[in-house]
This record gives sequence, C-alpha cells and structure tokens, in this order.
Amino acid sequence: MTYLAFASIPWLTLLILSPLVGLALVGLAGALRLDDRTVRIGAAAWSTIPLALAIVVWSGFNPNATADGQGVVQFVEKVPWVQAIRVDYFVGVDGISMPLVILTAAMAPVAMLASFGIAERLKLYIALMFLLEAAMLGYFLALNFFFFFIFWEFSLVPAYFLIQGWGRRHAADADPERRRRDAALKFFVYTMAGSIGMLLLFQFFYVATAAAGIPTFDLITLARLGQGLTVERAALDPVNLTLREIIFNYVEQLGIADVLGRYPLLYTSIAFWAIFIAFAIKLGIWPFHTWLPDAYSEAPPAASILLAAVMSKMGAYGMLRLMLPFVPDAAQYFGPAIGALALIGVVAGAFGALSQVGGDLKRLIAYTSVNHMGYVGLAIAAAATAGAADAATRATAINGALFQMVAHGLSTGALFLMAGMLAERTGSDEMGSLAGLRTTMPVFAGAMGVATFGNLGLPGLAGFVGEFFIFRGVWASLPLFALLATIGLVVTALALLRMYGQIFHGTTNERSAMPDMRLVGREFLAVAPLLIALLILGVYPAPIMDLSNQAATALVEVFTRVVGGA
Amino acid sequence: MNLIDLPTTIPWLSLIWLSLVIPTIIIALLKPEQKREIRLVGAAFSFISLALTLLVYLAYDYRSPEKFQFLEEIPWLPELGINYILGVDGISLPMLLLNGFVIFTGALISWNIEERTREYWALLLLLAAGVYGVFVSLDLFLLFIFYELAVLPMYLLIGIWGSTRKEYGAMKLTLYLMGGSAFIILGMVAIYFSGTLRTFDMRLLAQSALFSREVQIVFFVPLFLGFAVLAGMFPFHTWSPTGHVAAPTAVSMLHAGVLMKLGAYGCLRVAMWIFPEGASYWLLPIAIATLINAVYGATIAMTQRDFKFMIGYSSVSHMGLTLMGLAAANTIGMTGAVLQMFAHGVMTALFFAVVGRMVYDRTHTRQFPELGGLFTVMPFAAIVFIIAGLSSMGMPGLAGFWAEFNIFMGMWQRFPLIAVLAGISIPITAGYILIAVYRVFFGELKNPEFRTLPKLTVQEYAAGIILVVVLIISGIYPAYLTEPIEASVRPIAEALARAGTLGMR
Repeated sequence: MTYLAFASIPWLTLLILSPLVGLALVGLAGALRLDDRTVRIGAAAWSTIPLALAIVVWSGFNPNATADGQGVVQFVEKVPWVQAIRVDYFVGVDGISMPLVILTAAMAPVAMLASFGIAERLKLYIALMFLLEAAMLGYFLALNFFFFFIFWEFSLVPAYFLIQGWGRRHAADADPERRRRDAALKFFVYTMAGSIGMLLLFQFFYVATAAAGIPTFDLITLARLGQGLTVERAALDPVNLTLREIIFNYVEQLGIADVLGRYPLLYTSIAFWAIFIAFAIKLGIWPFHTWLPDAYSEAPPAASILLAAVMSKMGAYGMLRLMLPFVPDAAQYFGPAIGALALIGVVAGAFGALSQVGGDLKRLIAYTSVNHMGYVGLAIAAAATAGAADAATRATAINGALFQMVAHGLSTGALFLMAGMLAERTGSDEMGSLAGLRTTMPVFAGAMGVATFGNLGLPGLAGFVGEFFIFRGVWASLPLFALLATIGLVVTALALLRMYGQIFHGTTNERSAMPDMRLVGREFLAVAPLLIALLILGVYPAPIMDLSNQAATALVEVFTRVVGGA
Repeated sequence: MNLIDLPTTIPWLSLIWLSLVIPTIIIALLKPEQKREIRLVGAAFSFISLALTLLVYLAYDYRSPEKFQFLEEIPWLPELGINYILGVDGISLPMLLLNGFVIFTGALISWNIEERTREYWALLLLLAAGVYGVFVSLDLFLLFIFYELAVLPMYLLIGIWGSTRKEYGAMKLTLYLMGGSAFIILGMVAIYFSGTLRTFDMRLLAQSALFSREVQIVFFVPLFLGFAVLAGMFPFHTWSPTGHVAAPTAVSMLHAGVLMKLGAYGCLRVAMWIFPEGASYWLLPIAIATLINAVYGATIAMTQRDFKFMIGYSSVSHMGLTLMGLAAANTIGMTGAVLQMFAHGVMTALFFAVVGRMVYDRTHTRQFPELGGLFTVMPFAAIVFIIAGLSSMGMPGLAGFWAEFNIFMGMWQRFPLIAVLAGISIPITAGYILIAVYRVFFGELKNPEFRTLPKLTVQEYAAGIILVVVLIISGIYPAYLTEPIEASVRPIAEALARAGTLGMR
C-alpha cells in the first residue's frame, strides 16, 4: 500500500496520549494537594508538549507525496483492535488533517493561559481541558471510523461539563446556572442526535461492504472505494466496485430497492445527508447553527476559544474526509443545495452579528463564526458542484477552506481570549456599558484591532488569504453564490468595526476608567503568538497553504467529471 | 487462546457456585450480633467467587473447536434424562464475570445493613449462588432449579429490607416471575415429550432432538416469553421498575445488574438455541416489541421525578436493546446482545450503588426537586455516576457503545427500518441522563443539611472504582469479551440462519 507511509516511531500515538498524560499529572497534583498556582503554570507548560510533538510531525511531513491517486497518508500506525468487526487502531496524517492538527495543538496552550482566572475546582477544570484536547487531536488523526467516532463523540463530554460547570457567571440574567445548563444540554443533544444518522450509516456501510466481501470501517479504504480507486483487498477475487455500487447491490439484496426504486443516486443521497447533517451541526451551517451562539457565549473563555477555534473545524474536516470522497455523486448533485445553505449562513450570520452590536460581545463573535464557517461550507460545496471548473480551481477552494479554518481559529481564538480578559476586568460581556477603552488600555486596543481586522479579512492578515482563495475557488462553479456572499463580507466587517468602535472609542465612563486595566505578562504571552501568526500567514501563507494542495487536488479530481452518470 | 492453564481435576464450576453456598451456611451458624464477622465472611467469599470466575475466564480457550469447557457430568436422575452437567462457553463466561463483579461490589455496598444482618447476607449470597448456577448449567432441569433459587430470595429481600411500597413491589415482582416460570415449565414439558430424545441435556437437544417445525413454532412462545418476562420485555416490564425502587440497594444492583440478564440469557441459551425454527418464525414480533421497549422505556425514564424510577426505566430501555440484538439473530447482533448484558449489568450496578447507597441512604429522598448541588458534597459519587451515564447513552470509549453498535449493526442486517427507528432512543437517553446529572449533582444545593452528610465509606469507594474500571477497560479494549462471545454465538446464529424462513433474501 504505497498510499500509506508507516511510521517508525509512533509520533501520532504520543501526540494523542500527551494531553492524557497531562490529565494524569493533574490527578497526581490533586493527590499531592499542590496549590492552584502550581497547577495552572504546570498545565500551561505541559500543553506545549503536544505542540512540540505536532511540530515534530509537521517538520517530518512531506506535503508533495502522492501515490495511487491520493495524497500519501503519513506517520501511519495500524494495529488490529477488535478482530470480529475489523476495527483497527489506525492513525495517520495527510494534507487535509495536518493544518488542523497544528491548529489544535497551538490553541491548547492559549486556552490554558486563558484559564488563569478559574478559581473553583481548578484541577477538574484543567483535567477536562486536557481531555478535550486529546479528543480533538484524536479526531483529526483517527482513520478508522470507530476511533474517529469515539473521539468525535467523546469531545462532547468535556465541552459539556466545561460549559455547564464553569460557564460565565456575570450574566445580568436572573438564573445564569440555568442558562449555562440549557446551552450545554442543547449543544450536547444537538450534536449527539445529529450523529446518529452517521452512526447508522457506517453500520450500513459495514454490512454492505461485508456483503461485497470486503468488510471495513477503514476511512481511507471507504474513501478510495467511493472515488473509484483500487483497494488493497484480502479476498482473492478482485473487487472492481465503487462504494455506490456496493451500496446499491446491498439494498437490492435487502429488497429495499424494490420498494424505494432502483436509483443508485437515491441511496448515496441518503448517505450524503446522514453525513452532512452530522457535520453541518458541528460546523454551524444554517439552519443547524442555533446551538452555536448559546454554547459559545455561555462557555468559559478558554472553552469558547477551543470550541470556536478548533471544535467547529471538526465539522468541516469530517465533510472533507468523509462526505466528499465517500459519496461523490451525491455531493456533486447536492453541491448547489449545500452551497445555498452555506450562503444563507454567511448572510444570516453576518446580520446576526450586526444585531448584537452594543449587546453581548461573545454572541457577536459567535455570529461572526457562523458567517465565517459559512464560507468554508460554500467552498466545500463549490469544490463538489458539477461544472467546467478544473481540478486546480476546485483544489483552490479546498485549500482556501482549510486555510480559512486555521486563520479563523487564530483570529476568533484571539477575539474570545480578549473578550474574556475584558469580562474579567469589567465583569460583563455587555458592550453597552463600555466605551473609550483605548485611552485606558492602549495595548489591548491595538491587539484587539489586529484580531478584529484579521477576522474581517483585511489584506495582509491571514483571514484575507483564506477568503480570497475561497472566493476564487467558488467563482468558477457557483458564481452567483460568490457574488451574494460578498454581502456577508461587508456586513461582518460593519459589525466588527462597530463593535470595535463601541468598546474603544468615545468617551470613557467611570467603570472603564478603573486603574487595573493594563494587560499582565501572562495575557500578553497568550495573545501575542496568535497575532504574530495572523500577520505572518497573511504575508506568507505557504507553510499552511502548501500542506493541503496535493491532497486537495487528489480529493477533487473525481468532481471534474460527472460522477456515476448522475 | 488461553492465558493460563488450570488443572482439570478440580471441578471449577461447581466451586464457583458453591463458593457462595458455603458462606451462607457459615453465616447461618454465626450469631446475629456478630455483624462484623458476617460481613467479612460474606465479602471474602464473594471475592473468592469473583477470583474463581476470573481464573476460569483466563483459562478458557475460545479458539478451541470445543466451545463448552470445564465440563462436569454427574448422573443425577438418568432415567428421567436429568443430569448434573456444568460447562461454560463464550456466552456464559461474560455473565459469570459480570455476576462476580456485581456480587462482590454488592457485598461491599451492603455494609450498612443493620437490621437482621444475618438473614440479609444469607439470602443475598444464596441469590447470587443461584445466578452462578444458571450460567453454568447445561442441563435444562438443573438450570431451572438454579433459576428458581435465584428468584425466590428476591421476594424476601425486597419485602423485608426494601423501601417505598416494598410489599407491593415484592409481590408484583414475584407474581410476574412466577407467571414466567409457569410458561417456562410448559416449554420444558413440551421439550421433554415432543422431541425424539428424553433428555434435558441442552447440547443434545440443540443438536439432535429433531423437533418438528410446528412444535418449535408453538412452544417457542411460552419458553421465550417466560424468560423475556424476567428480561423486562414490553409489555411484561412493569414489575421491573417497581421492584427496583422497592429493593434495598445491593438487591437492586443484583436485580438489574444480573437477574434481568438471566432472562435474556435464558431467551438465548434455552429458547433460541433449542428451537431455532420457532425463533426464526417469531423474530419480527419480538423485534417490534423490543423496539417499543427501547424507545418507550427511554421516554418514560425521561418523565420520572424519582431518581430510582428513572434508572429502573432506563434498564427497561437497555434490556430492550439486548433483546433486540437477539432478535437480529445473526452473529453481530447476538454478540452485541451478550456484550450489552455485560455492559448494562456493570453500568446499572454502578447506577444503583450511587442512587441507592451513596445518595438515598444519606439524603433519604430520591425526588429530583429535593436534590441538587450534590457534586460539592460527594464529588466521587457524581463522577462515577456520570461515567456510568455516559456508558448508558452509548458514549464511545465506554462499554455500552460497543454493545449498542453491534446490536444496531445486527439489526441493520435483519430489519433495517427497526434499526433506524430504535436510533431515536439514543438522544432520548442522552437527554434524561444529562438532565438527571444536572438536577442531582449540579445547580444549587437545595437542602443546606446536605452539606453535613456523612462522608463516603471505604467500601463505597472500592465498589465504585471496581465497576468504573471494568466499564472503561471494556470500552477501550472490548475484544477481551467479544472474541469469546463471537466464537460461541456463531454456531447459534448459523443454526438460526439454516432454520428455513431465515436468511437474507
């Protein structure tokens, strides 16, 4: 199997385990009754270890390697786990997952630094943060559906308890506990309910592929089957079937085809929507986004950072890893529909953000996330839609989407981080009570400015690069959508600028004139790397952009023709 | 593949069930005032039984073509075809392990029983001995005797040491189960007289008794229903939550953790194994009933105000999934069903340990509106409850997930529509578990007296930790259970597939 490059040292396992070791160390700290200050500093220090490991992987990753029609999956480890149903422990990185692994590992130390304000039940809190990091890293690295799904679902648990237990307390509302609980529950049940379709679908895939003689939960194998590439097989007789044919043969065998009709596209479409809904909820695609503003705004600052910067990307990653390669015919067919939903999200998110100006700062940032993730959805839709666009243009859309994910992670992470700092000082997320902070906290104002402009896509900062590539990629296959999506660009910019003006300009009121408004060294340490990364990637995007290009080109190759005669 | 070798001259399986009968006798000889000694004897012997089951598990070779191992055969009433035959396979092995874990932790949880301590312990151990007996019996008559031995102490345990309408709960439970037994006897008589062999040896009955198709179809029903009552199958489930609520904690643990599995085990080992054609004829009605079980049980659990009732209905819902795995009647589904028995047994034992002992025995209330904020008072109870809850909602990484996954996958191959519909129960379960966790452990402390509740005891910590560790190990590496289960379930699934009306079209 030349498309899998096995690792000699299990770096990826170490990467997944390293936050769990951090978790064990927190437990040890609890047993030794170490004081909270030591735990905070230790956690922040330990969170750089996964980052270091991710950088090791990054430096050893060869983005140009392709084989057998796909980007080579590297650092692969594959160990049989449950023989009975062909489950392997299978991890690896390719160009699609590499940027997101780096993003995850980079945001965790920031989130740890943002957690210094947590006073109660600190050790449990830190333990949950490490658990969340491990789950997210595992999700991006797992290539067997079982482990993929384990990490996908399990990431909900720490996030749920972080929101419920440590969410914001300074809401003006009478019963903040209840609001936090409702937000957490909505988040959890939404995601879990959304993923049932996907779970059932994979069970179906397994029984269908078993009927074809190649039972598998292997995401790479399924993706290759879906794209019509050859698959390494154990059986002697060659299987020259695509996943679409395997599915259709099996529904015929079950007799379902007699009832619902003999249309292969129908069944891949069902599969498509099962996958799409699961991931659209996570990504916050309209109309599946309604949990998102609540969860982001009620979460404690560090959890908001991880939720917005990393967790929402899990949805987009799933679409790229599963949805496009597994059922390319349905993805091609429904590309415009997905694009339309994403477009509505772009525009509605922007207006949602605008409506929050003068209101809740965190909700405003949450709505801009809906807007920005809409672009990502639009790019994915455009890459799949039938049309004259060539593979390079489609790959541009995917590259743009991945770059946008990283850039949005950095800028939104910075915004939520600074919103948290602001709330620590003023005791509120209400923008209405703030004004003229530029005079009392000039450095903060400058930093927030960079993050804001990075978020709204000012050229020279990372956000621009992602959006530019997305628009370029979308233009070729969905030109009207690209045109309409510019409304989102303008309105988001308006919302963010008005937010900035509200907080930093105008005359100072007595609360914002409090003496202790300056940033401390620790806060500066958390913000500065994000802003520097935004600047560097804005000017020189190649380190991230080049990672995905080959893998993306291979991924979209199938869409340059009409798939499966649909 | 076996990890250790045990000398074959020792009757290991007899030792397992005797290891709980012996302490019953010792306890009966002790004075009622010697509570400390009674508890120590009970706990020590239940630990010995657990150790024995672990030894047998480690020595069992699931790769061997001979599925039944550690066989013991002693003629008993040979002229009637009744013999003392013991043996384990990959289906009974996880059940033995489960019973070992639950009775040992149940013994630890029973430390605070002060009233009639001697009788309580004697009955508790006798009950668990009966359960062990059922899981190792290969003779149907012997199995039935052990079955009754397990069911009867329940009545006394609930009636004397229970709470909340204990007489009613005990009576309802006993009547239902006796009704079930009557059905089973009917089925047994039919097995004895309608086959070509006058024997109760289930291995012979399953292989060569040559029941006619009509006999199988007719008498499968009482045999299956008799056991399904104990498994809590809709519409015969109503005794179960009432019984759970009324029972003392350790009895709830055994009841939900093991006794209901006796029902499911009987459905598989007796009804489906001996009457494969009958089973294949009735699969669809069973599957529909279990679908109702799963979804309706979860919905009712959501509406409960009483913590224990909620757990009781969640058991109904999960046992529905177990039976659904059996109704799939293929290797994957039945593997999932057996795994679900194990996973649910451990998980629900943990639930009842937390709800009954850690919470109720301290706060003396189980009503959600009166509880709240207990996390600060007993963080350990909260954490283990949350882990059990996550397993219950099928969170990947814990034992319940693998079980449910296999069950759903088996159902896909049999009745795809039912698999899809049963999926509804998953988010409902997530909902009621999370809501219960919040209402009991988070939010504000409703009653300021809760701040001064007694601390958890060593025994409670030990029981909680043991069960949580089992849940997590089974969640991370389920293969240690699925491999032997699958090897033993496969021949049954093949028999069912051969049985005419079955098989994929």
